[in-house]
Formats: sequence, structure tokens, C-alpha cells
Amino acid sequence: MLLLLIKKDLAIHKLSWLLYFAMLLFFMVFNKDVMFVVAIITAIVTMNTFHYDELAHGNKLWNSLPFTRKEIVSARYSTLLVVLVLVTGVVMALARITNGEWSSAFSRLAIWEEVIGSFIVMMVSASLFFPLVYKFAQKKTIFTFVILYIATAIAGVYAVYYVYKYLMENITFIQTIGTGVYWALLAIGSLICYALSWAVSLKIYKSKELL
Amino acid sequence: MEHVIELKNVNKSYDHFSVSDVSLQIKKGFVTGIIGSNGAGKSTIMRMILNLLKPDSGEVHVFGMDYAKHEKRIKDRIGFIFSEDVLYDELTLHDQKKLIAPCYSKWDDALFHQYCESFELPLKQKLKSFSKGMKVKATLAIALSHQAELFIMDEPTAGLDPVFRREFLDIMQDIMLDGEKSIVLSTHIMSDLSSIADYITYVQKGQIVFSKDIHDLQENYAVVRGGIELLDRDTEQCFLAIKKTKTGFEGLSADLNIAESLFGTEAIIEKASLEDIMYYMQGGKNVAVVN
Repeated sequence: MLLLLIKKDLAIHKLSWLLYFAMLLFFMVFNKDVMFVVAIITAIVTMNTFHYDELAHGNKLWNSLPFTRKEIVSARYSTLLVVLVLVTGVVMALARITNGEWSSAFSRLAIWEEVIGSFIVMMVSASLFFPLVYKFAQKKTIFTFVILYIATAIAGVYAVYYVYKYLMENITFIQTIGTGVYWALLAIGSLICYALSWAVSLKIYKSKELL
Repeated sequence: MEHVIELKNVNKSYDHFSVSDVSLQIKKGFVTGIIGSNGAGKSTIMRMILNLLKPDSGEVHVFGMDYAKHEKRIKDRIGFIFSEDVLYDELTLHDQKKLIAPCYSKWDDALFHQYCESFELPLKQKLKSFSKGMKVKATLAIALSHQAELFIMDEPTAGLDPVFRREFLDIMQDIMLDGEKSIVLSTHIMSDLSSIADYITYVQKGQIVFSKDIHDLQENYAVVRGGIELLDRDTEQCFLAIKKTKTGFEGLSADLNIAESLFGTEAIIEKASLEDIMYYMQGGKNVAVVN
């Protein structure tokens, strides 16, 4: 049943997927980094899912169908991961097609670091926003959440870049442990955040009044 | 199992409104209409039956099961229609069906197409181009295509034209032919109910005032009109609600025979319609004075 909900989260975008692809190409043409492109496209897709659901009274619809609230929330958290993988896959495929001509503005980061960075940004921003959206978003306010979430994702990308740059230049600890361990620690931290946020959203949504 | 829905001492409170101590039993195989004015608590009760709202206290059982343990089994057997759109405007009906059909264990695709044909619903057209009536028909086609045993309809005919409302009621009557299905329908359009409902539950200010067989209501409730001199402490006891003017009164009595024996030919006594009952009950048991 979880798969049905994930499929629904992807299917309701319908032709908007073409728009997302066009935006992805646009950012690549303007030489934006992998982390930026993956994060912003994933953020747009994710928040549009909430937006479309809110416009269609999706909470009412899917809660009247044979699903539990736990499945509905879990599907949304799983969809983010699916979208992240899809967008990363497309970006990496396009990067390969362009034979590396498309390079990062922050060339000191390797591609794999940018990919992990985008996962970290999306995990942390979703961890912050999903519970807020489940708690407070309504038809009239959901668009504000969409904008704030996308802005947070963009800010998160730059935060990851500059924190990395600062730490590498000023703190010997990172240089000692190595970049691999550094990114692994951040990834584990963001996964823990995501798991905690998932639990909080479940708690919020289980007691949500679906008017 | 005689009761398809059972609410026991259900309470739900908000800042300015509450549903208090609601106990209700909905019989299997019948149409139950839930009536009441806007904001009376009909939708709150319907949403608690669908588990969209959770009661602060009390129990809700559907098909003899509770939502805590059997949520999916219960919802698999329910068809629902709301007054607002719950379909995605950017999708076609075909797309929407593809998302919903796999959710039900007994989805019947042939039946769905049969209903779409009968309701003249275009499958390949975006739902945003559908009229309000078409959207209700689309929701109805979905609700009817998974062999639901219970239909929960919250103001399904609100905002629809009389022709479609009549069509809708005809469809409801067809659903009920096998005697196995049950419908709970909330509305404030009384004429819709008088033609299809078997039982009427009247909700006022978050409380159930009565839950009765519609024939009992139609046979026993009466509107009495007469001169003010006919009223005294004893005769007023016969009324559930009275509206007085300087010269006369109008009252709702729950017992036509008593009203006739009390007033005989001195007052005009007519059987009360559902609309009459709702109108007079609106003032509760208080005596309303109209100058």
C-alpha cells in the first residue's frame, strides 16, 4: 500500500515533470552545481506534492481510502528519497552526456561530495519542514511553505559549501579525519534528523483534524 | 449484525463548538438522513464516522469494528462523497481512477466504466473542466465501483441543480435495491431526504435531538396554527416549539392525535414536513415570540 501512495505522489505532477526537467536543464546550462540542481529540483517536486494534495483536499481523500495515517506520512518521507534518487540519476546521466563540460562552480568538491551534500541538504530541510507542513499548512498557507522550503534548500546548499570551505581551511580536525569521514558523519547526522522528523510527523498527523 | 454504525457517548470539543454525548445507531440496509442547520454538527459526526476526526471521548464502531484495530478493513467497505472536490484538477478521470482503483480489494473496473458511460463522464478530459455536477458524478462512480456496503455522503447535493439532484436520488434508490447496502446522508435539503430516507437523525447545536423512522415523523408530527386564546399552561405542554404573535400561534407537536384531541376544529392542524420540523425545532424547546 505504501507503494501505491508513493506512485500517487509522483503521478499527481503529471505534465509538471516536463517543467521540472526544463528547469533542471536551465540550471545546468547556467553552470549551477550538482548539489544546487539536485536540491532545488527535489525541493520543488516535494513541495509541489504537498501543494497539489492541499488543493485537491488530498488529506481528506487519502484518509477516506483504505490507508492508515502512518502509511500516508511514511509514503511522503519515502517519496522524497525516491525523488532525490531520480533527480540525482538524471543529473548524473546528463553530466556524463556532456562529458564533464558541465563543471561545478565550486570545483574543489568532487561530484560524489556534491551528491552527498544534496542528500544532506534535502534530508535536513525536509526534517525541518515536513512536521511544520503537517501541523500548520492549509490550502491558504501551503504556498508560503513551498516558497520557504525552496529558499531553505537553496540556503542549505550554500551553507554546506561555505561550512566545508571554512572547515577545510581553518580546522585541522577535518583534514585529519579526511573528507570521506566528514561527509559520512554529516550523512549519518542528517539521516538521524530525518528519522526523528519522520517520527514527529507521524505523531502530528495521527492527531490531525481533517476538516 | 443489525447496526452498521454505532456511536457511543461520543464527545468532540472545539473552542466555540462541541458535539456532546452523541449516541447513534445506524441500521444496516437503510438510508439514514442526518439533518440540521449549518454548523449544527452534522459534518463533525460524519467525519468522526470516517475517522477524519477523532472523538475526544466515546466509541465509534463501523461494521462492528473500531478504527484503532481495523481501519483499512473498515474503509475498504465504505464509499464516500463529500460536498467539496476531492479529485485532482490536473488529472483526467482515467488517471484518477488508476490511482484509486488499486487501493480497494474489490474494485470492479467494468462497473466503473459502466457508470462513467451512464453518467456521460469523459474519461480523458481533465477534471478541472468538469462541472460541479460532473465532479460529484465522478466521485459517485468511484464510490459505486468497489462494492462498498456503506455509503457516507456529506452534503453530496449541495450546490447542484434540481435535475441532477433528482438523478442522484434515483441512483441512491437503485443502490438500495439489494437490501444489503446502507447509506448515511447528511444534508439540509429536506426534499432530498423525504423521498429516500428511512430514518432521520436531527442534530442541533452538537447534540442529537431525535433519531426516528421517517414514517413515524411524517405520521405523528404536526404543525398547529390557531388563535392565541387557545394557549394555556396545559395546552403548551403538547408542543415541542411554539412561535407566538399578538393574535395567534404556530406550534410543532410530536403527537398528531393529542393535538387533534386538544384543539379539535378550533385550530388548523397539518402533518409536519421535515422542513417544518427543522424550522420549529431550531428554537429548541424554548418558546419563540414573534411580534
